[in-house]
Amino acid sequence: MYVVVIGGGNVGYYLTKELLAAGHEVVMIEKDPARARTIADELGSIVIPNDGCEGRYQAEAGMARADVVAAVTGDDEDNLVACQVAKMKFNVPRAIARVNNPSNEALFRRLAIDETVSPTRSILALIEHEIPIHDLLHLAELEGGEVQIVEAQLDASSPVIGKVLRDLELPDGSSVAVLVRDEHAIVVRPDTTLRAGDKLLAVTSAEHEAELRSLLIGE
Amino acid sequence: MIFGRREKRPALLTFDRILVPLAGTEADDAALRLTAILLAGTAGQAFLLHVIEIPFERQLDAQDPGAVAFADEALGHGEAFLTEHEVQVQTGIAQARAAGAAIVDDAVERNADLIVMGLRYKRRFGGGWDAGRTVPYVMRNSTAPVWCLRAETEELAHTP
Amino acid sequence: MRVIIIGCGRVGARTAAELDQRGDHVTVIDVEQRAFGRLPSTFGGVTVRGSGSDEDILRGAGADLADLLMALTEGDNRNALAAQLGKHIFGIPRVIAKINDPLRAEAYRTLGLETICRTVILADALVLAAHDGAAATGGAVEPPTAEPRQGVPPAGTRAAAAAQAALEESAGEPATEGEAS
Repeated sequence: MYVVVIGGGNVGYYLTKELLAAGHEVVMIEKDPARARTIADELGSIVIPNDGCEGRYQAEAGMARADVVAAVTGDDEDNLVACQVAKMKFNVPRAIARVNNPSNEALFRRLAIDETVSPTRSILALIEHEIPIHDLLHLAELEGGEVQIVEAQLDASSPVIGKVLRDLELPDGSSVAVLVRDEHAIVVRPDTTLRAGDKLLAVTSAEHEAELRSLLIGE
Repeated sequence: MIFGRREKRPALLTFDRILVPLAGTEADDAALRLTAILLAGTAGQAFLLHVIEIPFERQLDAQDPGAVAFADEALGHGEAFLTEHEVQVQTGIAQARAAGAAIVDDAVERNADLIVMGLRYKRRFGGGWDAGRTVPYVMRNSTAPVWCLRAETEELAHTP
Repeated sequence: MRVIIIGCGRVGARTAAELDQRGDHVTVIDVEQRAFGRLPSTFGGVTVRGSGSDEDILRGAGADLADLLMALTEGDNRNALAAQLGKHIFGIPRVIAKINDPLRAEAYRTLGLETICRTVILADALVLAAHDGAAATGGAVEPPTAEPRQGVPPAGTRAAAAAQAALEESAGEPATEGEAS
């Protein structure tokens, strides 16, 4: 593939490196001459030291034969204009834009720039999904990730408090191996009753992990 | 020829492999002259290289018969000159995005112990001397020593 | 008419002031508080501190009801983005973007934006003024309203002759030597 990367900041630089390593042909357009020179010294004569929003420099970068343009500067407006110019003037099949302000994504899509990446939104999603009060703690992985050994902390809200182990409807491929209560490890037996504060060490498959989590911890 | 075949050359002026990039302009003449002086009658070799610069608008392996013809002529001229002065010479053409990088790489590949390049006298708008892109790049990045010669010029004769 | 102006630089401030004078409802947006100092004290419109490329700021500034949006910051790209935001997200009927790069301005006109391009306007006016005089430029280039009184210009120059002629004229004597050119 022939990819034109607009913006030689961290994102552009690492993106270019990765694309080159994967065997693609890449040209970068970076408007700061010193930065352009530094990158060219390392990656070779593939940097055009000019403004990537201008049609003239996009032409020089061979935008007419590009398969993809990736506008990854730190400014949404520059990324927007770069993609619009590339699509309007050169009919580039795919334009990917970095969008820093997530609320701009709607506009980009309205202007037919369908592929946007918002680092802000990605990190936000991670933060919101990864502060669970309770979750399965991954202890170990076997068989290339197929088998997981996890720890579940049962608190008062856990759906299995007061239940006996043999009555638990464990998902396929899962079993509870060890129970830690009051800092003592106990090998579980079918008639063990589960109490709040118990820590269960369980074996499960990657496929059924979510189900096990719901069972032991709830939603 | 400065040195007759049987005279001992000072070690300072003995080179085994000289890479001579040719631009196909009058700048080449000075470089060829110096190369002849250095290698005439010796076992040393001259490698004449012309790099065809391919813009990004085209694929790197694009065919450009016009450019190849131009290269052939420049190399032919250089080869004839050096042969006449009893220098052993080989020629080659390369295609690259930037001539400077190709020259530096070629010198490394051949293990050249010297690069000799000519430079035309060119002025930028505003009067500053323009050394172009290629010579400064080679100067800055070559591991082998680089000797650059500036061609004579009519221009300065008229400057007050 | 409800107008939103993004960018309270010299152009934005003057435009806002004049529209306000004419009775339009004007809201000016700028990222810097002190930019609003360019507005006259008589300005009757609204000022909003914030980025005109931000949907929330625009909404707060009344973009949903605006008739006209003018993006007048110093950044061509910022103006292009803000104008398109106004047009496509808020449905503002007319958007004008200041885009000083003539090629980009032309491109954005194909996307439904009105553009004002300082480069073209000034260059065109200057070329006209050079050959046809300031009067031909419809006010873009303005002739001087007075000449300053200065010290004595070096002898033999055109300025010296002109000064001599002006002096004799104002003293009531006809100019005998030299010519004002």
